Amino acid sequence: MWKNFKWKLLTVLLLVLPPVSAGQSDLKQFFDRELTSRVETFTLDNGLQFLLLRQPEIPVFSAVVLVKAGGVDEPRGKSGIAHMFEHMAFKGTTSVGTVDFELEKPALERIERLGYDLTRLRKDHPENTEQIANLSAELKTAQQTHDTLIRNNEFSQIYDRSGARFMNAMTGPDQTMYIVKLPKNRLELWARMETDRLMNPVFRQFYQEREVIMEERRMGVDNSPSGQLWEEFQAAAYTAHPYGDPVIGWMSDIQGLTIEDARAFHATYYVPSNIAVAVVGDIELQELKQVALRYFGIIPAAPEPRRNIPDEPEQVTERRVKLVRDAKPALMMGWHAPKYPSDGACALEVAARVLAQGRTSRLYKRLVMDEKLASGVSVGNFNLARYPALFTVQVDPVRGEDWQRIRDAVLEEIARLSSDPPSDRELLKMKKSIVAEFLRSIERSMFLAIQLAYYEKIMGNWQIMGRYLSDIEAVTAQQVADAAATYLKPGHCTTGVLVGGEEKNR
Amino acid sequence: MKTSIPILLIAVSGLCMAQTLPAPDQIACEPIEFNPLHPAHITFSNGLDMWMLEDKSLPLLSVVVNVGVGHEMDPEERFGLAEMTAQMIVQGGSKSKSPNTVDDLVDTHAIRLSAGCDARGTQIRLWCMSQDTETALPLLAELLRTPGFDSSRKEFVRESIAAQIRQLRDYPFFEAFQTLTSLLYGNNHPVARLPSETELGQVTRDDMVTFHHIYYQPDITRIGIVGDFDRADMRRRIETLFGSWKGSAGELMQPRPAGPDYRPNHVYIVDKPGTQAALAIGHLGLPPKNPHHYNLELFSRIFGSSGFSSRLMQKVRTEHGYAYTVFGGFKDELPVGKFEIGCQTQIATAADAVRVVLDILSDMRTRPATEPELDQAKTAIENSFIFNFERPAFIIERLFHHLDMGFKADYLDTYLERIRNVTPESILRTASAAIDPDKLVVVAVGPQEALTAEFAELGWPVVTVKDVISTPVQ
Repeated sequence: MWKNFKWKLLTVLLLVLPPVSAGQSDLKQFFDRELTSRVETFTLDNGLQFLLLRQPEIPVFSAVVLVKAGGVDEPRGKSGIAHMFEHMAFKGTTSVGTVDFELEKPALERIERLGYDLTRLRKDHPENTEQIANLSAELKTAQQTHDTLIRNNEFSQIYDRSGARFMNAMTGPDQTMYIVKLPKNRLELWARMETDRLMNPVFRQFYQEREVIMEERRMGVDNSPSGQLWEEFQAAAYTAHPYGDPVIGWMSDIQGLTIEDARAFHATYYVPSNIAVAVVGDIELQELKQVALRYFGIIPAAPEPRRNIPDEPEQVTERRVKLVRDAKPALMMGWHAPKYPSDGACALEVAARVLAQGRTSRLYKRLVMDEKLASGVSVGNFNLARYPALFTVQVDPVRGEDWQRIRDAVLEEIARLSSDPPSDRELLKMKKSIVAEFLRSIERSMFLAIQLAYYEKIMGNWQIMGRYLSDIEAVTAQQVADAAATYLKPGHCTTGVLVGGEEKNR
Repeated sequence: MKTSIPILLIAVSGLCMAQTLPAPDQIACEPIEFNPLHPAHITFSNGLDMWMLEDKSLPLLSVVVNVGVGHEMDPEERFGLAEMTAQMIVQGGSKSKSPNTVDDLVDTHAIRLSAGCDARGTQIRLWCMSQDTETALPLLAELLRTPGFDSSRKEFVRESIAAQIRQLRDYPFFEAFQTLTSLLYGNNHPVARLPSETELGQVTRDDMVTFHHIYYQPDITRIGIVGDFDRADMRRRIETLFGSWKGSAGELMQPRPAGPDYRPNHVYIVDKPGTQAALAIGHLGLPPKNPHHYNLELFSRIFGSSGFSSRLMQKVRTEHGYAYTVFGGFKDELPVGKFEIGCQTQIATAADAVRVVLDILSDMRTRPATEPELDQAKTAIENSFIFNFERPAFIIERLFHHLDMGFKADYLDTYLERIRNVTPESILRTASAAIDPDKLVVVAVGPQEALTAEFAELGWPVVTVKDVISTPVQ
């Protein structure tokens, strides 16, 4: 009878709690099978690192050139220069994009001189409108002359002709990435093009492109309420560290950028010791080594850039920003959090998932399903960065006026992580989701290439990817409770809120 | 494995190469050969179409169910019904499982389940680890065939759709294109309209039950499966789960034709504070399957759909610095498609940007594209053709797109040959026939007063219209 009862109990438990089969061994097994045993690496003598994962199923490859240079590396007053250089990297080189570089050079030098003078004049003597108009006209004439000596967009067109997909570049706070997918027979062409733009960039149409970037900023920030809130929120959360500056740059800084600034940024940071390249696709190691040596190998070695990034002091008080716009309301909350592998970094990642991953997660269930205060909630834990970043909670309130109630609920749920730590079931769900996400992430060759390059150059070793996932799996409920209590204190929170006109006078 | 390249080789190589990178077109490039995967196709006796591709490279399973009904079938007094029905299918539980039970299964097994509609189709997607196939596939079949439409979830689903629509108001570009669509199709056409929150609220459980009963039929449903499975076994599973699904044999409603409702060669302004104008320019296009199809594809590439190789990008962005984003061309869309151009620029350059666009169009309608332009476009298409087969999931997605647009499953077999046959003259003939400058209209979203002044110089009359996206929460 007793025996029978136990079986019944077990059956009931199995029915109520569907089995969760993924465990630590699954993740390790997948990671080892898919990556550890297959990723190959080599380093050129100039310091440039290569990673390769062969995927022979279809004759194409995804490639990433990752430069450890982003918004954080910009000199004060030059925010946006990393991104500006990224745009310049599509403008061609001494041999691509020009009719004849020797003929083009004097025209470029003239533009550089005039552009610098005009930029300074506009900044220092905006009242001098007549001189500004004259200099603008002179610059325009010089640009028109220069336009006859170049081949517009030739760099991108060569890739386009070669069958490129996803040709793009992304600048972030920590890094700049140049990505492209090509048929496998274009490996040598890719190596030639990327080497050329790393080594011989030409700052063509710089001042027209500066206008384009201002439009990009107007589009993504100035005319986007959520973009504006994010910028203000970051600026409030940081006082000393450059993570508080927007990657696209403050408008006032963009207006002052010059060719000289872009050249200096390139010279300092675009050096082989500061770059990692990852290739995922139907490419053999020997093939990659050959083209790497023949092309990337010619880039002169240079010391790794010296950096002097200020530390962010401890946040000792609450901070708030409020943006009033006729737009969809938004609430952001952020805390300074440790970066991996410091204590608490993995526990906070688990906290993030317990709070907002899936419809059964704590915050989603409470705010969206039960109390119907929000239409969406997400938690971000940016613990894989060059410097300690934020743990953020972002909520889409149904009604803007509820933001304080929502904020209180978020703080309550964060406190509950300590008083009612995650259950075994919550932890099991989280573990399963990590395995599934890992598999999903390596399904896409470009995403995987980006991950490999990122972990290698930004985190120090691509294998940290596996270690990080295993460390998250090993987090205990008590560690989540402790980390929430240590790092997510209400008094150390930065809050950003976007509300409609009705909130103006509150 | 870590290896290091000897320094001597680098130095020698460096000396040889420093000044002499080969010209890009001098780099040898062996032709590549590949055998594209072909999905297996089965049509069951109830009309359900199944396409599947095994891919054992990772232990994953991905399923897309495509039901041939979209918001074009929304009844006039029930805008949003198709979307509400689709969302409630995946979020409203089944006849035997409560929504909470489904949520728990989904989260516990790390399943991804989502739904969405376009004009003529509903897609329900499922993704999971293949070890969970036993749980995930029956769940999908149960939700699709016997959805619960649990009323307790209706408000939640309504709010999540309404929130997505509200958010769109923060994107002037989206607003410009939505306004353009409403002018081209007529404001009350279901393709052109987003449901208001009130309308969404009026959708009842009975409406969804009826809509599902009438339109979710096996003979207008396609199921695509990719991943780690055995083909024969998967066929058996699908037959078991869906083979007994019988259609209700109801009469399907006929889609409504577009009824353009605008004054051509006018600028329609939607007032919105800001420092930019979001511009959408265009007129109605052609149904996807039309005699100009391949010419239109090359026309679009040369005109504005190929990034930095296109004339729009060359002129508007690179030469003038007017915009970060600019694109344009013919869009394959049901029921008739559109010819449209998009650009976001500061107010002071808005009229000039439109003028540059119109000049490019005029040139393309009167002079043939140059040989180098056409060669660039054809070569790009040819060399990137392989990416149509890059991943099994893409193969199925692309196939479904072609079938939706009225093409046959072998569309790609003859595609390159047809592209090769396009000439500058045939593009010119198509451009003259398919683009009518007298029907073009401009929508500009931005500050009304400043834009009215800016567009005075274009010479097109200016009309101010209301925001077409639903109003904020009531």
